[in-house]
Amino acid sequence: MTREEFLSILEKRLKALPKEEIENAIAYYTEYLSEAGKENEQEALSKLAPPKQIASKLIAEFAISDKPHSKPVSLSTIIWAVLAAPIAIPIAVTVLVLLLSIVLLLFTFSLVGVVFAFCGFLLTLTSIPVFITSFSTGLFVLGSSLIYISLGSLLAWSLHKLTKLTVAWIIQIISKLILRRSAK
Amino acid sequence: MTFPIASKLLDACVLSVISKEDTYGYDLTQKLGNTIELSESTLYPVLRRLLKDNLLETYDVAYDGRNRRYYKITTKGNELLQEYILAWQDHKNKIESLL
Repeated sequence: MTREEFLSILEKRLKALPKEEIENAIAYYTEYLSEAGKENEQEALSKLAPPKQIASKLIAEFAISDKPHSKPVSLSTIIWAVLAAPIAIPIAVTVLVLLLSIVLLLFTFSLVGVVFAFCGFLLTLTSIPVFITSFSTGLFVLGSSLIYISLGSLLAWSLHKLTKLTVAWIIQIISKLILRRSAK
Repeated sequence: MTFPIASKLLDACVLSVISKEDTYGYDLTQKLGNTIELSESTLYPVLRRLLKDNLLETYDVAYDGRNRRYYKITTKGNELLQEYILAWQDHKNKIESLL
């Protein structure tokens, strides 16, 4: 067997392993044979175990020592997940819908604030003809319309902020849950 | 050789040789081959496993236009080697009391 034959058989036989493992093994034996030197190549090759045997040993070692790193999901976890699915999925959907409705509710209230402020603005316009008939009633209408504007815009502004905060909070919680799941 | 070398004992020998001096694959085979027969279990799977377990580490040195990968023992490897040496002394004494 020549050096090239040895290395190509080894590479073929190691196909099942990750690329890095194959490269490391090929690099090791290439270096080994180079160190032995051209003149001692045959002797060095005969001292090495057949490439078929080296490959099966490496694959066996890899299967034993490296597999447990990717923790298999235990059977009980799978059974629990299957049993819980009819309840867990509707609950998850309910929670999501509930969160969505809270956001929509906050958003609607902020719209109400906008409408409120707009009504106040219209009211200031209507106060103008009232001023002509009665100055004091005009002042009253103008005053209350200003209250409308300020309260409405306050409502709109604060609920808009609150909606934003709630959305950010929900996104944060969901992303945390997903991250923790994938970290396991 | 009459007595086969158990895999833990081979680990201990490899760690011990490397602990004395950093070395590369071929040189290590020569050093070990003087004492133990390495025919059936070649060295590479052993080195690979010791690396995976962080008992050894490697560094590359350019030599004669190619690469030599040197193996070096880690602190963890040294600790395990000391354990192996003690265990071997104990084992040896027990066997010797019988032989």
